[in-house]
Amino acid sequence: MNFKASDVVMKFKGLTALDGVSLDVAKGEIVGLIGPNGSGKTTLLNVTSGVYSPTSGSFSMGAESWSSISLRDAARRGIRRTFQNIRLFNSLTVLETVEVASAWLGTGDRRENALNALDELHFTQHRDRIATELAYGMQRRLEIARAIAGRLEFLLLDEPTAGLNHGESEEIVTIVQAIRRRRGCGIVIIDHDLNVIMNVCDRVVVLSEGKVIASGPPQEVRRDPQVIKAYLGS
Amino acid sequence: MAMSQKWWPRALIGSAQILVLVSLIVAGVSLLGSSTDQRILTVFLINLIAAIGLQIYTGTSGIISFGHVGFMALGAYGSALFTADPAIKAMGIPNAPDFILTSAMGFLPAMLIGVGVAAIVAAVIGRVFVRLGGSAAAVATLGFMVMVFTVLSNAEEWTRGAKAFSGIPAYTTMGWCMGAFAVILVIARLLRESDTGLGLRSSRDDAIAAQASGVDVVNSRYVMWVASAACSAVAGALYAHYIGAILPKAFHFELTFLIVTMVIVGGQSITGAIVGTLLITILAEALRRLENGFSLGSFSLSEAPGLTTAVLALLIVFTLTMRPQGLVGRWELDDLTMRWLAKRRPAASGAALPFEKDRERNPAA
Ligand SMILES: Nc1ncnc2c1ncn2[C@@H]1O[C@H](COP(=O)(O)OP(=O)(O)OP(=O)(O)O)[C@@H](O)[C@H]1O
Ligand SMILES: [Mg+2]
Repeated sequence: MNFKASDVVMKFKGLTALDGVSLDVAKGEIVGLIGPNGSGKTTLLNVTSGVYSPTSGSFSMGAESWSSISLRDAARRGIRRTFQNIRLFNSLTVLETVEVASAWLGTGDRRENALNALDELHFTQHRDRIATELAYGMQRRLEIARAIAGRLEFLLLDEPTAGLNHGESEEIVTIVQAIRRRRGCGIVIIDHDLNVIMNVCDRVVVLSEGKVIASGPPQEVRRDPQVIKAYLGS
Repeated sequence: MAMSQKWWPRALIGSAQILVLVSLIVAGVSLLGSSTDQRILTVFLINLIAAIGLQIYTGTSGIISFGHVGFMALGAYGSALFTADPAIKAMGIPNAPDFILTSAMGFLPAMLIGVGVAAIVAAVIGRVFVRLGGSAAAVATLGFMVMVFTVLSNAEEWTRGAKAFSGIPAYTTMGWCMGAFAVILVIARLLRESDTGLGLRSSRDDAIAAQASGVDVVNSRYVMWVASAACSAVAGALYAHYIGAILPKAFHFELTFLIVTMVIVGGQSITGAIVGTLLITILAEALRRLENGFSLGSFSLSEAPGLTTAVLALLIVFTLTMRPQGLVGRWELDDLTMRWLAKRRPAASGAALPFEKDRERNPAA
């Protein structure tokens, strides 16, 4: 089963954030999404996960297709995500935060599923603490734990290593690979840390000013002159 | 973890803890208190049920309702009309339909009628109301309360209009109050901890993240709205059968203000509603005694009946500015005891210090 976004256009008033972007992710594949600030990476995640309805374009997953979707329906189809600007619940504990997702998107015991998701994120402590009072690095990991609890087909990670130190970034890389191995889901990962992208991705897609300017295996994309000009060179 | 792997035992443990504490208060006052104290205690228990009723919706959705006293009124009149002595009804409301005039039901079935009416009305208006938040919700729910008041005041054939409807049997005993309180407490806690309640609480904090976790915000609110209206109606019925005579004016701004203050000051949890009710009952009682006899030199405060209302208003302002999450915030009594126990044995591997903010690293770094 593949997830496909085709010819997606997203306009905000005068600004065209996405200008005919197509993206194809297979289950079990990790795709890196890179590009300069403001190139439309987060916007692509937002229209895919149902935060916005795109101006035009279409999406499909397996036999289903749609042109716009609600946040909740996307989640119910297993399209799950984290947020670049962390969005945690400031009156819920760590465990409750993950339980929200396992309760609404999972089958079976909500607590057991939540504890399993926390284990996958190496979250062995602090489960009874208020989510937003955790250290920053743990908040990033908690977002991922919440995103993998319950049904998971495609996981969209928006800068999961932003603000983390080297050791913590390495840990995220390990965790992301483990999630793919264990869950067999497709993963889209946005990151400004090229080491992370090169280490973890099967394929890289480069966005610039709302358009895909390159796509392919990490080593190839790295050498693409257009990419060097638009992104790496900057 | 020593904690149970299921979510619901904690709700029952928490309810039991609160029940024990409230029972101790009731036992103490019953044994040692004057008849005035017992009267205050009964009103306290009825207000407690009303506050928990409101909290079922407000504590999970984060949306305030000024309309729940309207549901109390429906519960009160619903129950009163079907239990009052037919001879008294023949004089007071001779033009009421036969099924009301002839009815002389027991407390439980009549209360259930009142609760049913409130639940049906809540279910009908709820589809629209639960889509509103913030000031729109405040205005709409307040409008609903005023509408119930107006309808009851004008439905003279059924309610005697603005005049008191009396002859309501004095069914409300301490036993009924405690029984109703126990049932509603457990229902409220189970709803709060359920998938629906948990999802709704998450949506209060961040609606986008909640929906991205699959939460159906509107339907969850709807469930809580109807349940919360039904519980408020129980408080109304208990009130009617305690006072023995009701009039629409009893379910108006003053009571609304009182119950809302209890909930806002107490916090977002069921425990919060209880703490708020306890605090305000004690405070109101102290102020009432002050209003009735206190004088300072030549200046007498006995002519200041608005004192209680003024103090409640100050309390709301103080809470909203200094501690918007209320006295106990999101916590329940069992959370607080678990946390307190965890703090006492911090040596145990990795035990969290729940109230200590994590300052390991600044997010801006
Ligand atoms: N809700 C919105 N309303 C108006 N403009 C928006 C909105 N969201 C994004 N944009 C604009 O769309 C463009 C793309 O933004 P987007 O956040 O997708 O970039 P990005 O590639 O994720 O950048 P970064 O690397 O900084 O996260 C930007 O110019 C941004 O200002
Ligand atoms: Mg972005």
